[in-house]
Amino acid sequence: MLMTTLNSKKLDSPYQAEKDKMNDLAFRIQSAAGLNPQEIFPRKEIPVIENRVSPVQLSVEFGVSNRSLEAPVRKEKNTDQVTVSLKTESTDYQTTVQDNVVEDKLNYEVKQLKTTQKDATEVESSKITSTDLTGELDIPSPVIPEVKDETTKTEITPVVVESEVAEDEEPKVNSKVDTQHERPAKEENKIEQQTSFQFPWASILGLVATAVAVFGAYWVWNNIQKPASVEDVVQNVSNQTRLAEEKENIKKVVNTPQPEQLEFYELTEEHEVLNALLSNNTENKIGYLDFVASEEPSKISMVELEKKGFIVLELEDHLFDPIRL
Amino acid sequence: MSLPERQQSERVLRKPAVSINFEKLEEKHLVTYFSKSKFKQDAYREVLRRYQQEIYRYTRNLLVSSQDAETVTAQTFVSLWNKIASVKWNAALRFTIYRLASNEVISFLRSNNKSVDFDQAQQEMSKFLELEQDVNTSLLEVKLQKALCYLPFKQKLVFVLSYFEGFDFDEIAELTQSDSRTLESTFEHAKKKLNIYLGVM
Repeated sequence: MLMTTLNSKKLDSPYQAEKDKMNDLAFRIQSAAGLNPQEIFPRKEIPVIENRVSPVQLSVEFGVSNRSLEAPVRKEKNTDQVTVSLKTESTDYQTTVQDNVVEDKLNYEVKQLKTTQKDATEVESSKITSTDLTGELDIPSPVIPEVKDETTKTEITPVVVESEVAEDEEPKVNSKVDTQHERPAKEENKIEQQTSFQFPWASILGLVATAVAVFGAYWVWNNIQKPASVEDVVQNVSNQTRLAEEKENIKKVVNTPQPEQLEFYELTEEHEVLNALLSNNTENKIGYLDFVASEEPSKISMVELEKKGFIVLELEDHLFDPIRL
Repeated sequence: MSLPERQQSERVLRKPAVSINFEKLEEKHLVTYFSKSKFKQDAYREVLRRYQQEIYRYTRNLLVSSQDAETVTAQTFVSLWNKIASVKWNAALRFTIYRLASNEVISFLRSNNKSVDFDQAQQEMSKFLELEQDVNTSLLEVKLQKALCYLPFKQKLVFVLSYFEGFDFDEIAELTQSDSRTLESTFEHAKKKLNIYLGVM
């Protein structure tokens, strides 16, 4: 592989002479020679690249825009939303009323679930956190008043609601109920009524399973083999024995050895010498030839012989005589 | 003036006293200025500019170590400067510089180890291949350099002069004062050995 590489592709020396290194070496040489050192190899000037990247704004100015305009409405913040489920004779409806109304008018068992909700101001502050890198996040807005983090979600379920009380209280409640929430509550009731109808999945699955079982039984019934008769068994055995005998006959034909025609050669004297050389029976004496002392045609022939691998030439000892300038 | 500023000012490229463009001179014309004291320095600097990198690479191929190569290169050109006026420039300038460099390499190896045998390989040089940080090349070229370290020095020299530096065998024979046929045979030996070494590596 290497021979083809060396012959086909010229490999370069891997050692690269750097300009700066060569300049330093040239200085050393000139100094050692007693010359005034000068720069021989012009150095590469490193181009100065102007930094045209626009500076990144790392701070957010709070005083420019009035945050009070962007602050959430306080009503949403302080209003405790109460879900009231009222059961009357006529209809069930669900609505949202204010906390004070429920406490005054209805006698309900109250389960208070404290939940932490992210209010609008927290969302706003998180947005500021993502863009602000100056650490000014903790500065509260001067306009927004302090807001409770925890809101109370009160779920009220009626324990005992008498029909009379409900009828009495219903108009009062309705009078303070937000009319915007009335329509969605009715729609939800309709959806509940629609979803109350359950599709008979179990019966359908039963039907499907029955059909699969019937088809499976039919398939098995059709694919079961009939029991073989005695005559067929006898016929199969006789066929197998006949095939085995035929195979044995084929093997016997293949394995029969053929008589070979052997050729005999007579060894001449040259062959005997070669045989002796190959079997190392002779005393192999290495002959040395003085390459330098030999004549030019002999040198040429010896080099050619060495190229073809017949002989090996030793190297000269006088290769590096002192050179005279 | 502080020392760095002085060094910086000394490195400013100086033009020759008389405006001769040495860069465009041929070798045979350039060597004629060696005997003229007025132009000798500038002609010498032109020789440095032309051959310093080449000689550094040649000595580095032989010695592997960059520090040794720099030392030998410096000695070569200092030797050239010392003989520049007395040499009869019958031979080509490049040829003469290579001869000087070869002698300096041999002298350097002998000075480091007086019992050095040039028929043997200096395998310890291969360690510099791993130590030197500026060897930035493909894997095959590094392998070849490592295999060269396992050649006897004579074969290595002939191979480097023929393969890397592009000398023909007659020139190498004249440079080493040897027989060209012998060198041809030596080169073939080197190639065969490199084939074996690279097959193993």
